[in-house]
Amino acid sequence: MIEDIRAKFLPRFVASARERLERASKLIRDGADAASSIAADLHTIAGEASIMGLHEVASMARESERAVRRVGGIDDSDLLSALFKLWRRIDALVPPKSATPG
Amino acid sequence: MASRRKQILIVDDSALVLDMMRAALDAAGYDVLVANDLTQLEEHRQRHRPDLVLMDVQMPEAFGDDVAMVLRAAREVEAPIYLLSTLDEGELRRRAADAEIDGFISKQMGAEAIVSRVREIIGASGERG
Repeated sequence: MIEDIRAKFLPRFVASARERLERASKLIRDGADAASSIAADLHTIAGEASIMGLHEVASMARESERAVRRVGGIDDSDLLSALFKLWRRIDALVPPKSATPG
Repeated sequence: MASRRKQILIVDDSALVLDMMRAALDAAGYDVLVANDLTQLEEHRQRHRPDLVLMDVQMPEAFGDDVAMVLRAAREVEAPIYLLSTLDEGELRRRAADAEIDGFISKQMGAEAIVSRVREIIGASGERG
């Protein structure tokens, strides 16, 4: 039963998380002072992943959130690297689309 | 006399969390009310008498434990109130104790274990008087 529910909501989770990570990455690249906004997005990803039983994704998101909230923050390049790793992990949750022949 | 399904009110700013928990708890036989913000929480509070309230902590408008503390202190909700969050258990325990509410459930358990925990707290649905 839970597996059915998870399968139903997985595409929505992946789409939402990608959107949040894209927004966070853009804020960092633009040099915006947006630590609280980025942390909030990471917190939401962690919560949604936890509910879905995606423990590794949740753990990665929580770790990045903690780094962002830490006093003194985190170096932008390190944070972008962490977000990229998280993005790759989330992308791996959905099977790649097969190439269209021809 | 037919028994009524027990009712759970979930407050969370993530629509995905609300929809997934509603699906999981509904499948377990519970009626589920969801509130995406404090306005919806207030509407449900005035119209319903849930058997359990699950409250997220970090929301845009307020901290859930602060909201829960006010509801409990003003006796506006008689049902057990539990924090439902991905924060570490130590912090959740402290926040629940400071707010003088009934406890906490970690989102880190996943939906299935959360449903089991709900069943421990209020019993299986269909047992309401």
